[in-house]
Amino acid sequence: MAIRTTKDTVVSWGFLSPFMILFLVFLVFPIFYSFYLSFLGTPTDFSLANMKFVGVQNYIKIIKDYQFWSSLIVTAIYALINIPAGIIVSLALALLLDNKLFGKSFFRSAFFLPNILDMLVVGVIWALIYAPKFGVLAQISSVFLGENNFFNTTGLLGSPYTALLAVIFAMTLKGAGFGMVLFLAALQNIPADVYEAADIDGANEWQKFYLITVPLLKPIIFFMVITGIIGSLNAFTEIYAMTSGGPQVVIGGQALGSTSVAGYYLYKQFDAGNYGYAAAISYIMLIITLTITYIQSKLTAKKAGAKK
Amino acid sequence: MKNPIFRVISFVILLAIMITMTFSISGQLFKFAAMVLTASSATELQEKEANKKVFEYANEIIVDVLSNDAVAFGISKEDEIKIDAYKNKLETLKKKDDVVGAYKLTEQAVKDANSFIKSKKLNPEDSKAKLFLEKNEKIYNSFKLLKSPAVELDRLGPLYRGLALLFTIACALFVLKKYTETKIKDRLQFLKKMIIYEALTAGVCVVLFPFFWMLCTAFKPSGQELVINDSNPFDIVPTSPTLNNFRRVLKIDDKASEMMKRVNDPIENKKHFGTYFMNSLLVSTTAAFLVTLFASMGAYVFSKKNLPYKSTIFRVLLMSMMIPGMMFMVPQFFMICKMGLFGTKWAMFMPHLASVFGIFMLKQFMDTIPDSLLEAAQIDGASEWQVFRIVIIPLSLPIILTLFLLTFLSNWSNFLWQLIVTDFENPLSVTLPVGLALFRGQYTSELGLIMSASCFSIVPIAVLFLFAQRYFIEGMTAGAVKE
Repeated sequence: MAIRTTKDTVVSWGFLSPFMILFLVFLVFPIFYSFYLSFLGTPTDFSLANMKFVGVQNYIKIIKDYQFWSSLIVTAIYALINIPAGIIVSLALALLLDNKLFGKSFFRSAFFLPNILDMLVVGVIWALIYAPKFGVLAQISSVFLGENNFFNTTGLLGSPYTALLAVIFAMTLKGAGFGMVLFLAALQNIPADVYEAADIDGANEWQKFYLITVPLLKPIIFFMVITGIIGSLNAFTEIYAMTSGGPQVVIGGQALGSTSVAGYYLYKQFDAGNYGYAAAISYIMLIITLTITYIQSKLTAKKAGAKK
Repeated sequence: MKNPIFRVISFVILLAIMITMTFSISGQLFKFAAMVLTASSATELQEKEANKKVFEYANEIIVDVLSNDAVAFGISKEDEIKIDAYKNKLETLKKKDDVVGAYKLTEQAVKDANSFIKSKKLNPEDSKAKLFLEKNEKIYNSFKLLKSPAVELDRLGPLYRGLALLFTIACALFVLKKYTETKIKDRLQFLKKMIIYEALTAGVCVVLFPFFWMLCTAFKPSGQELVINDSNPFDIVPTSPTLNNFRRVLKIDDKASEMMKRVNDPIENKKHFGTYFMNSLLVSTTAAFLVTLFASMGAYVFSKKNLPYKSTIFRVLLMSMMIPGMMFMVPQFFMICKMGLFGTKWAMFMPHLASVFGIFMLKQFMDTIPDSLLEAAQIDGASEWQVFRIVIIPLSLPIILTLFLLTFLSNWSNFLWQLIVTDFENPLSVTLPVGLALFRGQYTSELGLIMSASCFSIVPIAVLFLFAQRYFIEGMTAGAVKE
């Protein structure tokens, strides 16, 4: 097969074509199509035909759109709390499991299970757990704290201060098993003699964790940060199921959704029929994502260079 | 830390925590199993009949037999108070719709009626007394034949509680035995292990609690989802289970069929979770099949073929994975609409058929297949397609299966895309997540209904996971480990 022949090329393209056609049609073309759409205005009747060319007006509107910028800030907060929380919880679970235990695979599977379950359903269940008056939390807290407690009157999802945290708590529990499996695999790859050497040098448990385990787990942490950022930018279903972007807070005369992340805001604009505007927003989000990944790759390249 | 007293005390505390945990968890699980058994043992008609009849018979025994007939024998002041108490109790139970309570009350009343005759020292051969006793017994006998799930579950009470107790005792004895067998110097290690087990068990409980609560609530009768067990607020398994929520969600309950006869609208009749389930199944399976087929064909080329600019193309593919999926929502929606596919099953998965992740995963695996195998097949005269079908596919079957499962899963729960391309008027295009979102809007506070609808999405996936967990876990974490 070392000699490249025309027949070989033709056959190769034959095998590749179903995938490539789909790739070009549904993943490459939309990037350009979206750019075109972002210059179109809002149709009056939700129809796709009556869209007028409005030039860069959509982009000018974005610059002035407080709700969009606040949704980006909410996304950033979401990522900043969610990612460390996820890393800490899954690392803790992995450290607990990284012992000789009977029934280890059972625990591993049990923690992993929520990961594969439908996000919408998980969100709906948690929304009902948090719900004031009839949620589980409200019921149990009423038994211990009396009827007039926060969980029963407002509910965790009803207050702008706790709503996002409540979503993050649910998502951390759902996703913990994934990081746990990654960390566990990495922990088991650390050779035992590294720790023995540290023992001889008189290192205590904390030093061993901080100076050996964490540095060796860095690739996994880095991976979890990247997927966490992409996940935060794509976050939609959990917000749709649990808070619908609310509760509203008024800052500077603008009503802003305290859990309205960028993905949810994009959907809202799309749902309202502002197709051109939604396309423009998604373009801005693309630029933000690419910038973040570019910075990240530069950072890792620098670190790798420094180590050498 | 080395102090033996300290060691013993901490062991006792840890053992106590362990016993409490084991007893409450196994208690809930055994009760859940008994609950599912009893709930599914009665048909809807039997259940309804039984729950109605319990009150009817209770009424008959307490009002008819006790208060009306007994007067004929002459009753004392004491008896009168007793009978009044029965009546009042029955009224409150009726208001609360407490079947088990009514059942127990009736049983007590029957015994009281029998002892009443005895206390009167009437000759049992006396015709009046005989009639009274016979009537009492007749009602009681037909009463015992009732098939109410709540009552059945109550009858099973000692069984599941006993099982939980036995299990707990066995566990405690096992730990005790292990502890005494451990050498003194290893006992601290043993205690540490106990802490780890307890922490892990508590963690599993927290993580899986929402799903257990979902399953339990799905079996609760309408209007009683919020009733907390008075004796134990943490006991969430329903005491009067029913399958009615599932029947309503699938539209096979009495009420719906009556409506059906009246309306007989074929589209309206299909709007239930059976249809949505089949839609999701069809969409996810087709998507998974096509994705694995196309991706394995593509990965074969990238791994084994000699194509000009192969590595450049592959790099472009990998770069496209960096783009967030949200980006494609608007243009893909326009394309689907312009193709005239809006509201069809094709629209549900078409844009997601080009799986770059799949190509990447399969290529990684196919790189490990030695080229000499392909060459041998070619020398034997196999055509290109035969090489692919006979050599490549069987050898990479495990990874293909993994990709199949993962694609199935991602299409099963791809809510956002399916939401925007669903034609809500056509039940044949509504998938499970979309159906659930619609349903929740309709029945905001009917927890039992929402939860039984959720089961249709959760339970099949959980069962699938049970059998193929290795593929799921390895497949989903494969991308990260390769870094």
